[in-house]
Amino acid sequence: MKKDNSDRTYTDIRTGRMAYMGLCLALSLILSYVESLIPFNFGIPGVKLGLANLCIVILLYTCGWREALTVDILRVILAGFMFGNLSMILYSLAGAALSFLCMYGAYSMKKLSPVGVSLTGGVTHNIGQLIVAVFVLGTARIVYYIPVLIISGAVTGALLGFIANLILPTVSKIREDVH
Amino acid sequence: MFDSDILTHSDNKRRRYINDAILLAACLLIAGMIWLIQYLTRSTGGFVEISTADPAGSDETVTQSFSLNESCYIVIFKNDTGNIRIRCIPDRIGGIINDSTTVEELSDSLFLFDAIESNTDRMIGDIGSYTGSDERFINILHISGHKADMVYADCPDLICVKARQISRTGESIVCLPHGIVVTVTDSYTSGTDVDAVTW
Repeated sequence: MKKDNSDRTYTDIRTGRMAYMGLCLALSLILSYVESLIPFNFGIPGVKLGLANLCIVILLYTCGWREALTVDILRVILAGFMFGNLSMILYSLAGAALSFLCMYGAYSMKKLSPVGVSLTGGVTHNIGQLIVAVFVLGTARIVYYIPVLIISGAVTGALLGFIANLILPTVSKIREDVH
Repeated sequence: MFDSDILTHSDNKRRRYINDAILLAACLLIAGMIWLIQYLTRSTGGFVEISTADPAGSDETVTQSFSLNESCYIVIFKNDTGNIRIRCIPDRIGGIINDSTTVEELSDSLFLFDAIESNTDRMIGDIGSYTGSDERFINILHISGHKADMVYADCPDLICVKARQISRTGESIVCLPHGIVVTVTDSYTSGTDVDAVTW
């Protein structure tokens, strides 16, 4: 007896969405762990590959911005507790906030594909962390590293967007389960 | 919230991919130009400027400069009372950055311990009334062979220690939990008096 969507209640949809968000959160934590293994040190703290942005982009396209923002904040806090310390959480939060704002702006402008949205997310994440670090340290000298941050953010963002492009048609069926 | 047209309208898709390519090219171009400008104007710096900002937010910053031609260990030490002191301990070997430096506590004082030389007779400072509070921190910067590298720190993430050696103007090593920024500059910025320990 195949269940079609007209029989589903609001609670079913909410539960499905919550389960999907939990899945994306777990995936983003694993990606955070993987990127903590890759040495990417430039003498400036907070420079990360930003692999976990992949889940945020997928959530943004399948569920909407509220779910993506929730998982983003949760991911920063949990990954900070697991693989970092309290000060890292604050910097990552600032970078994630700016990156989410720009990603949502790029998404709602409807002029960019997932590749472009992920690219803006990656670049603005790094720039946001740089800005916060400049304010906390009280010195503008670390802006010297901005080309590295832009290039690494852009390249990893574009690659993640390409992967998201491949994944999104496959998970589009999830939309029927969560909406 | 559905954006199904992104997966079905192929016309729109192509236009969006072109926009992506433009955006990526613009980012790489801007970053490449900034890097090129930095590359063309780079110079081997002459001085290392250390500025410590109090992470708790107070405005006290201690800034000092050291010449890169020296061979010494620069110890940045914050004790219980909150005073940050920067001491310069000369390096007897010189020539190469020594990664095996650690800090040892012997009878209420801190000593610089060199694992290669196996001696502990270079005193960093008096702990004084240190009773194991969390406020104390130590970072040791080794200047040798015209390069600078952070060889020891007791911050939890050790990003500053894993960072590369710096020698060109503009490069920096940052210890974010301790609020320390070490930059290579071209000129000497005078700060407070250097507390030099000489043997």
